Amino acid sequence: MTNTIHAQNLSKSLDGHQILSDLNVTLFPGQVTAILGPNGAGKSTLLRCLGGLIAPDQGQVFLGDDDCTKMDPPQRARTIGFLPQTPDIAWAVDVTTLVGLGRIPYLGAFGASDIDHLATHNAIERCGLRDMATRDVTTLSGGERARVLIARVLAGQPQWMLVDEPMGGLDPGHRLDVIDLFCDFARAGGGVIITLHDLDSALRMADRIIVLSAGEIIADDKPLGALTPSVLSHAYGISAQVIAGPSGPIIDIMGRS
Amino acid sequence: MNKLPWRLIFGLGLGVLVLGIASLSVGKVNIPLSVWLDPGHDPRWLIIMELRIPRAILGMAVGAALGLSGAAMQGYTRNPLADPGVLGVSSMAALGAVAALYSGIGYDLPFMVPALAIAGAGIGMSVLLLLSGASESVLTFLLAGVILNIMGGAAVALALSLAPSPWAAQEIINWLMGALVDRSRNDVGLAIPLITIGAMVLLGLGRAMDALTLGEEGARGLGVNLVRTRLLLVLGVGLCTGASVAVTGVIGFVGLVVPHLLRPLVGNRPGALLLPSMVAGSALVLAADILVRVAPTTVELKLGVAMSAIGGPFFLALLLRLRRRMA
Repeated sequence: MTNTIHAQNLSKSLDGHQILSDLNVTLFPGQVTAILGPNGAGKSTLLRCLGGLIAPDQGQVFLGDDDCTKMDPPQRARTIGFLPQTPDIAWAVDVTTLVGLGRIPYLGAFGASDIDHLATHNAIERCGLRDMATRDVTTLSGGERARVLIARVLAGQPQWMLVDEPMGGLDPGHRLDVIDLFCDFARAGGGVIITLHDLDSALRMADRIIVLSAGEIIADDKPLGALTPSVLSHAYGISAQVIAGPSGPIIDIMGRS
Repeated sequence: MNKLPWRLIFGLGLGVLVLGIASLSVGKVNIPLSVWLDPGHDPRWLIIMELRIPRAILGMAVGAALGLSGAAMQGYTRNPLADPGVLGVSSMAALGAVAALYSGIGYDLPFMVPALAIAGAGIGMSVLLLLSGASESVLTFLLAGVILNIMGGAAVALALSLAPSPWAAQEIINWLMGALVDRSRNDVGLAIPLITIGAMVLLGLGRAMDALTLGEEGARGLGVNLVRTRLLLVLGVGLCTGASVAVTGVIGFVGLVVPHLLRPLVGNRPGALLLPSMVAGSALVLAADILVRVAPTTVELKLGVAMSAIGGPFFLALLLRLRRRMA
């Protein structure tokens, strides 16, 4: 049974700037929830608070009934898999080693067990990385690396995946691959919270869209309900609308509003 | 996946054993095999017991401490150029030791020398980590280390120029150059426990180092407590480097060279690099200490000087290679 993530009266400031102010939101498993908003709206900060990586100044984040910031960090890490924005991989480890890092919250005193190896192996298979399992991650293309990093999160068998802007630098084909991985995870009962800049990716994968602007939620609905012309104008300062494309809704941008 | 490279560690350990035995058998006085076979009856046995055994043990311990400190600093900072010598942690430790001697408390309370050396190393590490936390830039970090190194060195030089007696000056020079000469069993008793504690602290950080491969945010997402990791790193490097410098002075480049050479052999995994670097550091310092003793010079070379003479060009080559990779 996967728990909800619930933020209550969440406020956070960084370096004297109010990033989030008095946010209330509940996130449900089995869905892909996209957090949109302009640069500096507080998307990443909200995601870090929801994942328990940083403590809010005021308010609480609950995972089910547990206060996220008071949870034992390894236990939190086993439940919530966090994928930071464009993490540069510091050392030239091979793909299997990197995916295996996702098992760190499970490791006991004696290192990796057969269960850990199996979970790593399954994550590699699921992300279609079998052929590159022994390759050096620093030699991979951006699309391959994105899949390896997602596999790293999947290896931890989390109930939730919190993903910060994964589409940067990916071509349309690789975007589809990545979108499929997140959607599959949500269809299987997990929860996905993802921050995005790319509105078309959000329309394609999200079951629910939350739009942030200046630290406040200005829309929270199904994709078509959330991305209205007035919300798009308010959030991004663009004159745009969602229109019906031949294979689903797409965004039509007319210009600056 | 998360296995340690035991075969490599075992092989390196064998090397340390051989070098340790070799270290006992070289020196100004040639000690024939008969003395070894009949311990206790020849006056030369004293040389073995009082000079060579402490020297070999200290060489091993100091090498282990420096190799491990280097590997841990590189793992935490995700930077292959980090090393206690290059980034001024050793200089700060030397400054602590010299301060204890210069002020005189080191003579009244001998334990103050390592205590202040460890404090110096801890302060150096803290300054580095504060700066590396404030900015993600590798450049800031390296510059901060260089500046620490210069400041520590300058303060030691100041103490040297103001030294009350030639004897004190000579003592201070020893800290600048680093040597394993004439170390007693007291030094062994002082350094070994401190280095052991420091090493245990650092070896426990392997998993956090592995997680840091994904960056600080990635590591936090994996449940790693970075504040705790940073404190333990300061403590471990402070103890290892501080205790080493307190007994042998500044010996640079061990922590830089050793992890760099071993990294490809452990699949570049920072956590798997810690124990091998520790053992290989022992081997390197023992080997270098044997070389300075067998070198045909009238006055014995200082170990720290010899190490820098080898390490300097190596460091340059490393920088050139890194630059090419980044370009």
